[in-house]
Amino acid sequence: MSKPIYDRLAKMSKRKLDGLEYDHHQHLNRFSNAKEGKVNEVQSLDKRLEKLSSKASKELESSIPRALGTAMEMRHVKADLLIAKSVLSVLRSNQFYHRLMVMLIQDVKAGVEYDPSRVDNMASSEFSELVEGSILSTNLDGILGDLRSELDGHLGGGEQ
Amino acid sequence: MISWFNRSRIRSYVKLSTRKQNKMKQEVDLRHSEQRSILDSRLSNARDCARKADRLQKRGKDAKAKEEINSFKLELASSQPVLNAYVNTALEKQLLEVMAVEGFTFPDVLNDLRSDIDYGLFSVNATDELDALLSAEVNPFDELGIEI
Repeated sequence: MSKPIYDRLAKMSKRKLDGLEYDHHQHLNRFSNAKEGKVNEVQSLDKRLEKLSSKASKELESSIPRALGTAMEMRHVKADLLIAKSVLSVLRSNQFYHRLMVMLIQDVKAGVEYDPSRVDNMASSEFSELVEGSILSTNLDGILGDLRSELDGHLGGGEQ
Repeated sequence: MISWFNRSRIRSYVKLSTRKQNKMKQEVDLRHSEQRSILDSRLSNARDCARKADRLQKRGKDAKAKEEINSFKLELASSQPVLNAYVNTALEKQLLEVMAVEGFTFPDVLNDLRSDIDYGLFSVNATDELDALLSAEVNPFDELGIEI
C-alpha cells in the first residue's frame, strides 16, 4: 500500500505536499483525541466490571441469588466493553493511517528513500496488541474464572 | 474481509448528503435509546427478582424463592434478543459517529500492511453470527457454571 502512495507523493510539488501534510496532521490530531476519549471509556468500563466482579465474589459467600443479580449487570457492562474496544480499533487504524501519511510526506520532502521495513515496524508496533490476541478473547478470558472457582468451592463443585 | 465495512449501508453512508446522514443518524440514535431503555428495565426487574429470592431464601421460604428465581430466568431469557439488538445498534451508532470525523478512512486501506488486525465485533460477519457470539460470550452465568 505505502510504496505506490510514496511514488505518487514523490511526483507532487512541494506546495501540494505541504498542503497534504497539513491536512493529514489535522486528521491525525482529531483521531488521536477521539482515541484518547475511547481509551478513557474502556478504562472506566474495565474498572466497573472489576468492581462488579469483586462484588459478585463477595455476594457468592452469602447469597447466590444476589450474585446472579450482579452477574446480570456484568453482562451489560461486558457488552459495552466489547463495543468500546471494537470502536477503539477503528479509531486506532485511522490514527495510524494519518500518522503513516505524515511520515511518508515528510520523507519525500526530505529526500529519504522509501524503506518498507520502517513502515512494517510502525504497523507492528501500533497493532501488536490487536494482532497478538483478539479483542474478544482477551476481553472475555479470565473475567469470571476466579468467581467460578469460588462458586465451585461454595457449592462443593456441584450445580445449584 | 472486515465485514462491517463491506456492508453497503455503511459504505454508502459517507456518500450521502448531510441531511440524509443526519436523518439516518437520528433513526439509529432513537433505536439505540429505545433498546437501552428496555434493557435497563429488564436488568432492573431481574435484580428485583434476585433480591426477593435472596430475602425469601433467608426466611426459609424456598418455594417462593424458587418462583422468584424462575422470574429472574424469564427476565434473563427475554433480555438476550434485546441485548443482541442493542449491541448491533450501538456498533452502528458509534461507527457512524467515527465516520463523521473529518478524514475518516475505511480500515481496509491498511489491509496490505496488516491483514491480521482484529477489529473485534466489526469483524463478525452477519447478525446471526453476532447473536451467537454474544449469547455465548457475554454470559456470566455459563461462565459461573450456574444452571439457573
